[in-house]
Amino acid sequence: MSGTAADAALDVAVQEAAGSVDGWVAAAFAVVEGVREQVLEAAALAAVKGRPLRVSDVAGLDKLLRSHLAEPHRPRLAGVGFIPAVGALSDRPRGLEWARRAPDGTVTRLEPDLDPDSLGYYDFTATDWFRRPLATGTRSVVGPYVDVSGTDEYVVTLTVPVAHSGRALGVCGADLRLGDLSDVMMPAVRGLDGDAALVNADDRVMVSSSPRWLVGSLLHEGDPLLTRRCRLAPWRVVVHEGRYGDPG
Amino acid sequence: MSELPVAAREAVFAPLEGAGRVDAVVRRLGDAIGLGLIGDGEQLPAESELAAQLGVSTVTLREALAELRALGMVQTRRGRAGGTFVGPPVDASVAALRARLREVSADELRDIGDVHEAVAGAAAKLAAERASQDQLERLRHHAASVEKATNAGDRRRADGRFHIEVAAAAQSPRLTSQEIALQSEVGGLLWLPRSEALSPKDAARQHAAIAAAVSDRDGERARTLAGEHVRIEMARLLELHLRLDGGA
Repeated sequence: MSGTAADAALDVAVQEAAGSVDGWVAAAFAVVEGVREQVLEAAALAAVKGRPLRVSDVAGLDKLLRSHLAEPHRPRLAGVGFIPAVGALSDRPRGLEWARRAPDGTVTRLEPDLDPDSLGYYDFTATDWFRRPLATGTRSVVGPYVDVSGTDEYVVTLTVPVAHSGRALGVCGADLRLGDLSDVMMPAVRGLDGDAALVNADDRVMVSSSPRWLVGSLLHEGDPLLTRRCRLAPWRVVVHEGRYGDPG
Repeated sequence: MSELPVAAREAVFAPLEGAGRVDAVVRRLGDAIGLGLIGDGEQLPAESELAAQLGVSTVTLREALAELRALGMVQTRRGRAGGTFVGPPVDASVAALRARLREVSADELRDIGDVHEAVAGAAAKLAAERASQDQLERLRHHAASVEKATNAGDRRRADGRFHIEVAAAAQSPRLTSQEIALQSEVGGLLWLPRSEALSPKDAARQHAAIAAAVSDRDGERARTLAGEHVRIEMARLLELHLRLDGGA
């Protein structure tokens, strides 16, 4: 294969990789939007009845959330749900409507420690994935990060703001595992003549086709041979010259 | 609380070596009160008697008592039933922690310290390599918070959260879980009201040094400083444990 043809093949592969990642993010956001719809329906119904939103109004969410976590649902999510803003539900100041799928497949409700005096206090109101969508009114993609005191996993979190009649109700979101993201992207870059990685806005490696870059580490490299931005997340697919272990 | 060995209590009132120094008296009595060797509400011996027992002058003793009063460890009542009393009382959880510190064995403490040194050191080194700018900022913020806290409970949480933030900045859920478990195990002992293992100022200074090494991306220095920090804490815990046990 001539140099130009090889370059073209690389270009196609990188484009395909970024496209797969975008497709996956789009599908995950579609799930999150569906959850938001149901929360908004509940809020509208409560408004018609002339009373504030209660825990029982959003209890029906659980079934929907679990259906999104059941195999073989794709994209495969680590968790999904609605995080009400403090005071958004009139009969419970703080609480989460979040279903979680453990790595072994077990689905449970996430019940973190919400006691501010506890070392394990899960202060979700201080997190970027909670604050950003409410502050900007737009979607947010955060991570990967260690979800301390929440799921205690290393995840990416996608969130959207939820507001009804001008009042912020909280955020809806989904957690994604990097292993699942790797399954989505790797087929496009496997066997390429060059090491490929997916990095976030901090240049943190999320997926790597090579032992050269550890997932979670920061990419300290010169200019990549090729780079392509994802459209739906602040991420890039990069390819660097040479392959790990090759001489020279 | 289980019964204290007589020797532990007797040691409280034994003559001080290198007598004459106010802070030696403050430390001896402060530790004893913090550890519950002198019970809540208990009356201290008359000043002249106590001074004679400790082998210090009454002037030195009075100065020390004034300091302990300022620290909220003793109260002085005037009148016929007057004198110096230990108080105000601490709650049941503190009594349980004191019992734990007494009952833990020296080799168990050493073993906990070994693991903590390994975890905190590795976390600090990896955080130096991997922390994002946001995380560096959060680390610096948390480093100072232990000194700003106004009571032992808040200092315990602030201290614990700094170490947990370091582990989270290392991007490792496992190191983070280990750090949380270790903080839950020793945090309460380190920040036992009235017998805190470190002064908040020293703790904040050591945290700041670790945070600075992490910010400088100097992994080896961060590891060394984090390890030393843990060693200092564990040595002090061992000292308090031995005092409860009637030694040292």
